[in-house]
Amino acid sequence: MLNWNDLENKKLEKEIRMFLESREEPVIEEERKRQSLEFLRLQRKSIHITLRKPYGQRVLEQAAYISPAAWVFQGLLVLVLGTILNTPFDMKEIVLANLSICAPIIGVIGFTEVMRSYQKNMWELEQACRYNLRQLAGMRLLLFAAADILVVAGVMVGGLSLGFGAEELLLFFLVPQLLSDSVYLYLMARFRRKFQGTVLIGAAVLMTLFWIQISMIIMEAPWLIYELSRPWALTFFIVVSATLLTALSIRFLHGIEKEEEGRWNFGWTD
Amino acid sequence: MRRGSKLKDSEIIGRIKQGEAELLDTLIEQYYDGIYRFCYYKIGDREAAYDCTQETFLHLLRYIETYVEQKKFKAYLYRIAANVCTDYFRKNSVQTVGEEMLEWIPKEDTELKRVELSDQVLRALDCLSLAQREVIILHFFYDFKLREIAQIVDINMSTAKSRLKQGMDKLKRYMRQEECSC
Repeated sequence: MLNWNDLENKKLEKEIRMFLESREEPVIEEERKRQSLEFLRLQRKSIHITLRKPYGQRVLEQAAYISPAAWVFQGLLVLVLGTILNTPFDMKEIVLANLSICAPIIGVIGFTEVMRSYQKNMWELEQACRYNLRQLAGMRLLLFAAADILVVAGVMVGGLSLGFGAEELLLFFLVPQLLSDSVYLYLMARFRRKFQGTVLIGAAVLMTLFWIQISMIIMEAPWLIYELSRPWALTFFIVVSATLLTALSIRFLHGIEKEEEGRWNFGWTD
Repeated sequence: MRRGSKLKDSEIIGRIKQGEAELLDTLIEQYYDGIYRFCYYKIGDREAAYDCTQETFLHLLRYIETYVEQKKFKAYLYRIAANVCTDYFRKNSVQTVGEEMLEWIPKEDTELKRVELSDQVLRALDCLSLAQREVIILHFFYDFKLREIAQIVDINMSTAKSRLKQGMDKLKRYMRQEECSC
């Protein structure tokens, strides 16, 4: 028996490395390998590869699978926002406060649709479609982001034409919307499938109450509107809320990917 | 020469996704031996290694369409194999490699000292935890970089580094006959 204590530490490590790198490969039985390859070839013939489509086309195709009710609610919300904006101009603070209160509701419509992917049997549906669940959720988030941008643009155009300042509209509508959506995304990533229906609505109600509170504080001190609408303050709020939303979206999608891998590799259930 | 054999993995994947599904055969043949050996090193049982190899490629066939090229395909495939082996361990409650592992012999070693070293290294490898052995096998047998090992095993870089170091230390300690927890 060799006395390994006599060997230098590094020499021993080198010996171990040398052995590990010059090991003999285990023999593969050719017949067994041939059978396995033949079986895999047959399995391969039974799969049908769907041709890759441009991402934009796939996103648009996803729009067809979104419930018409979601688009109807989105349309109704635009009407409500239009009505709010058309409130007599001498009640400017109230109009802006109402916009803040409506902002969280926009997210509820979109996220309800995104969360449908988590409902029972959606996993099977995703498999049948041979799409990746993370991609599906990402596409739906993109679709609703596009729809929400249109709503924000509508509010901006409408508000500006009615004499509101761009900074007021951004502060009272865009920032609350971004922050509310961030809260929803955080809760979705945190609670996953449990974040559905009443929980989402509950979160929306809480967000609305929060923005009512904030609006009341601002209305009692109108100078705050001026202070918060300063370019640097406004830029800060928008950048922070947009960054937060982006980071939480990535976290949410990353979580889906991890969950997906676990599902098919380890058979995770709820 | 087989069709597509000179293509890079990323090009083969791209063509498969464009509808040339038969190129999957090329990909499977190309990686079959490596995946088999990896499964064998991890499990230590020839029959189970064949099964896990086949299962790995069945997973690949099922999910090739959803594969998004973010990391090297090789690392992706070995990660599937690592997960399939883990699944095998879970189902069979196997914790250590079998006696067959002791059949390994060094390639170019005739000296008595080297033979003895080989035998001890093999026994020492058997003493490592699954996690440490996996990292050592991927690093020394497959030349994966620590970053790639981290992706395959789904751990962060520092954990991969520490597992490699701990594995090597354990091997050294075993060789010095200071410790063997087998």
